[in-house]
Amino acid sequence: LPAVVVLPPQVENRPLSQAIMVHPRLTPGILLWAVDQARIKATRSAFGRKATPNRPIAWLELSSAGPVSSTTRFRLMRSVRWLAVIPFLALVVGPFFVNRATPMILDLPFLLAWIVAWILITSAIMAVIYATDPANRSDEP
Amino acid sequence: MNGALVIIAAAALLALALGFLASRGKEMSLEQWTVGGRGFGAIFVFLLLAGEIYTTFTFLGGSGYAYGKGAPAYYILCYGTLAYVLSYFMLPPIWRYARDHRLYSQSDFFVRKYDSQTLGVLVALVDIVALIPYLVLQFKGLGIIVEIAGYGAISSTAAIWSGAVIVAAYVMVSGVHGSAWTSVAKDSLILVVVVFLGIYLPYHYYGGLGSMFAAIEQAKPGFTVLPAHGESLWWFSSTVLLTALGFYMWPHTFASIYTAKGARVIRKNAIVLPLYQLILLFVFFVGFAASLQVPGLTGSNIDLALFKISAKTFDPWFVGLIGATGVFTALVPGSMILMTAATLIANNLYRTVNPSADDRQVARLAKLLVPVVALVAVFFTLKGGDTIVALLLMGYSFVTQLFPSLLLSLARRNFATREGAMAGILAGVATVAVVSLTGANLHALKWLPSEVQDLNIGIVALAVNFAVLIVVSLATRQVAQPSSVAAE
Repeated sequence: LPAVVVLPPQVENRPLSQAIMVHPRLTPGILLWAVDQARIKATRSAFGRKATPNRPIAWLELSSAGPVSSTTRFRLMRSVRWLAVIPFLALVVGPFFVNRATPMILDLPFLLAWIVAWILITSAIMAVIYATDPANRSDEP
Repeated sequence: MNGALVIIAAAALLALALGFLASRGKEMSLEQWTVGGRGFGAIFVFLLLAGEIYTTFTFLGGSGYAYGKGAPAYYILCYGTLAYVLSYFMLPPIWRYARDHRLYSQSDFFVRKYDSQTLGVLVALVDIVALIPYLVLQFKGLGIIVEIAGYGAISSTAAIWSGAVIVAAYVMVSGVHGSAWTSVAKDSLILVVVVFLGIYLPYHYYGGLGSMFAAIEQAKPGFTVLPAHGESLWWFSSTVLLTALGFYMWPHTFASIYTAKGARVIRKNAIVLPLYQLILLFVFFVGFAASLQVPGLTGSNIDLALFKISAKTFDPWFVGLIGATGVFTALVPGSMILMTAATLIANNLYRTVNPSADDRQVARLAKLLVPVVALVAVFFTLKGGDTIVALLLMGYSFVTQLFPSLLLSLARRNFATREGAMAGILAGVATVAVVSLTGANLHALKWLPSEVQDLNIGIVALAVNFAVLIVVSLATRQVAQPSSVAAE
């Protein structure tokens, strides 16, 4: 998923065309996904509501943006955290395949170079996880 | 008085001054003293958590390990990295829970999660038994560093006493604020000194890193890879995994999480800390450089490699600067250990006996206990024989035994019951003690495949712990069920 769909309060009670303008991160792809999500919920809730004609059914649910922005988004973004398994594989299982002194990489014996490289990659992985983690977007410092 | 001593003395005074200044403008309530009012930003939390990387163990032991054993030393780089990955997910919920319930110590966490004072006392005891030898290790390192870097002008006994007085004094006054402030000086010094040594020594003696490793490979083939037996790949992987799990179980590291002002601060650190501990790489370079230049150190003397090669290479004033760095690596972790141990005794042992004590009384008692704990540690440092060494080896394995019940308690529905947690910890700790004291290891069991023989024995204790925890939890769960059904 390219970016986080945070549907701000301003979106409420506006048609989708306006939601795009309100929220800079809302790309067409995400929008389609959001509409899709909304439609599933809309079919469920439309029965209980008096749907206004001439308006897209997705709008119905977007007007109460809560469920789309909180649950589904969280689940999708949080799946990125599974990347954290990779450093464990690289540093616990990896050495079995790279326990050798040569070739030297950047003046380091191969095994040491492997470990150093993976420490750098681990830091990058954690940065990606941090950047996509919805938990870091809350108001808590 | 030689140039080296002047610099070491200046460092000790700097530590004292920073330690005292840290308390300025703050009223040292229990919350300020132990957890910094839960208001530390990214930098201080970073330094406190990084404080664990550069203790005298890594400074002397890291270079010594590379010097004496070669590649097995790499495990130190790996377990830290993996512990930081874990920290991203594990620490924020711990921090939030601690803030919501106003917890001060690791033991408090167990008391709350399992609703059991007894478990809290058990955890506090395990913590203290692990912490005191760790403090002794710092004092011992301090003595060695000052004696060697001062060219013998100050005996290690005198150094240990002065170090203990300094650290006890500023911990009493400033608590965790003192640790944070002194760690600024410590980390700046260590960055400059270690990176310089790690780059300069290989170039000075071998003309470069590549030619150094080539020379080592020629003189000691296989030194830079893991051996086939003993500290083999199987040892390496099991040790990395085990120590990564135990990393944050050290009570002083655990409690330093509480100082954060937010969960994001902790997550951010998980990105930076793996990079930061790469500085250990330079510590290894020093050890590797020394392995051919100052050969002949064996046994526990391998820890002297860094100072031996420095004394051979540099003027006394620079050796003094390295010594000053070493003093800080002993004082900063020492201060955190001291404060944590005093808090545990006052908050989790005394308060259990005397539940009516309020925070003010507990804070006063904790501060008074600081010099007492320091004295005990000095006593063991000067008088302790093999017992303390044995305890030391057990320390890490002891605190690792807290991991299963801690991890399970973070789940929304905790599978472990308080009886299960207690039985698991007791079984694990007992296994560690038996194994360490009898010197048993898997190598004694000749019928096992050599891969299994090389596994870190700590895995066994953790497995016993986990098994007991599950069995006892299942048993006590069934007893508890009828009442919970009735309640619904």
